[in-house]
Amino acid sequence: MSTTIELLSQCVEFGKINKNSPYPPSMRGQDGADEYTRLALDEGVLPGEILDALIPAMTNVGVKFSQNKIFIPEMLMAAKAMSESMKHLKPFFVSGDVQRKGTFIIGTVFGDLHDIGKNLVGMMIEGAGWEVIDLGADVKTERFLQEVAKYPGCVVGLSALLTTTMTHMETIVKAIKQQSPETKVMVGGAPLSLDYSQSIGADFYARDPQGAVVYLEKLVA
Amino acid sequence: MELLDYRFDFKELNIDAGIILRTMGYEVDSPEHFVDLTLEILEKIGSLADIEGGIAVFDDFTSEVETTSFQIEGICVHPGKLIFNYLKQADKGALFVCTAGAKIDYLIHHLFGEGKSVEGYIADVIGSVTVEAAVDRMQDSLKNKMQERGMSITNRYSPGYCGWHLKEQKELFSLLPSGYCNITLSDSCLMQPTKSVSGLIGIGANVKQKPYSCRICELSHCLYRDRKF
Repeated sequence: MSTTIELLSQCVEFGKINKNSPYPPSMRGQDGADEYTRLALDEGVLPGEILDALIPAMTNVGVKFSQNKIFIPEMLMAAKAMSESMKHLKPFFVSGDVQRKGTFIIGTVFGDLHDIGKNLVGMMIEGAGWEVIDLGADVKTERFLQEVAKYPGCVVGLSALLTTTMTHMETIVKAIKQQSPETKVMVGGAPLSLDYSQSIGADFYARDPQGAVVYLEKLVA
Repeated sequence: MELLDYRFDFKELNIDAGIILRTMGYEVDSPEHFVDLTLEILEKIGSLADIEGGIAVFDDFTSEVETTSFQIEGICVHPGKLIFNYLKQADKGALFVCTAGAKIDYLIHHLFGEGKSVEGYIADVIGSVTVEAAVDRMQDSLKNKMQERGMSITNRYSPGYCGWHLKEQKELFSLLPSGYCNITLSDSCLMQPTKSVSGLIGIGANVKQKPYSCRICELSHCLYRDRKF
């Protein structure tokens, strides 16, 4: 791994977006994910290699979050740094020079506006090399079905924070499985459990964003 | 029905950066950057918050054990078995609503829209803490009023939690004057502005308030179970 890539990886892990970004204070005045991604491309590092460097950085972020060593703000900063890097890689995704691992469709189920957890999962999964289609919050079953039809082979993630809206997940899971039995559906949210996810026919329960990433990695391994 | 109206100035709720940082998970050693952002956004929200609430106290409040439901002035609500059991001894029902105002919603959307996700998240947390702090005040006020009348109150319970279906918001809101506190319901029964809360409190000689109501929930695995806020 080149030094530039190592530095880029550190910027993403610690949320250093660009040179002007004051966060983290320990890296103030230094180049960030923006500058190091451009530099890596200028040095001839392949876009796929850059993406490969972002993935373990975001994995470390996910692990630290799972262990309560960092909290949502740090995770959001890391995700912002990763997004800054991804901006430079987008043209290569479009041209097909870099292949995404798959498409992940995510949304908070209807009747529920809580979207912070859903956003974090989306960001982590994007950082893991997936194309993320974020449908937002309060998403009805029909909308999920439309998107599943649009992206064959996609994986769907459903989020809910309320004990009463998590029951809507069952409706959505059943509708997706009826329309597209092979589509994998994962569910997550504070009140959920493995037992509940199994009872509604979901393929996976993600306790935290990192759990979601690990599951997707297994699917494409 | 007795209607109690409330208005709060953001400052009187005493929401400081420490409370917000603890809510985000920082028990000790909060990163300086996030402390600064929190202070900055608290300042902004201080001038944007439009905090109003109300409590409607209903004498016509009866419990029906067979259906684990309550009749409130002819409107039937089914809060689920768990909440029913905590409210069933009540002689009166107090329906509360409270909002931190629409401008906080605009700020949150504006910040996320500008890609300022950390600032948006902090604003979101401040909005939630604000409306809960306001309802705490309302609940204390109700408690004092009822104590003067020789009665106690229960904890507060809201649709969406502990098995009480969100769709029952429609029944609760039908008991209030139209447009009360400038809160409206969406098709999915979500409140607008989003930083709003609603729910029921029981009142009576044989009810009591417990220290921490989240522990009553059957979801022992819930990630929020041991949160202090």
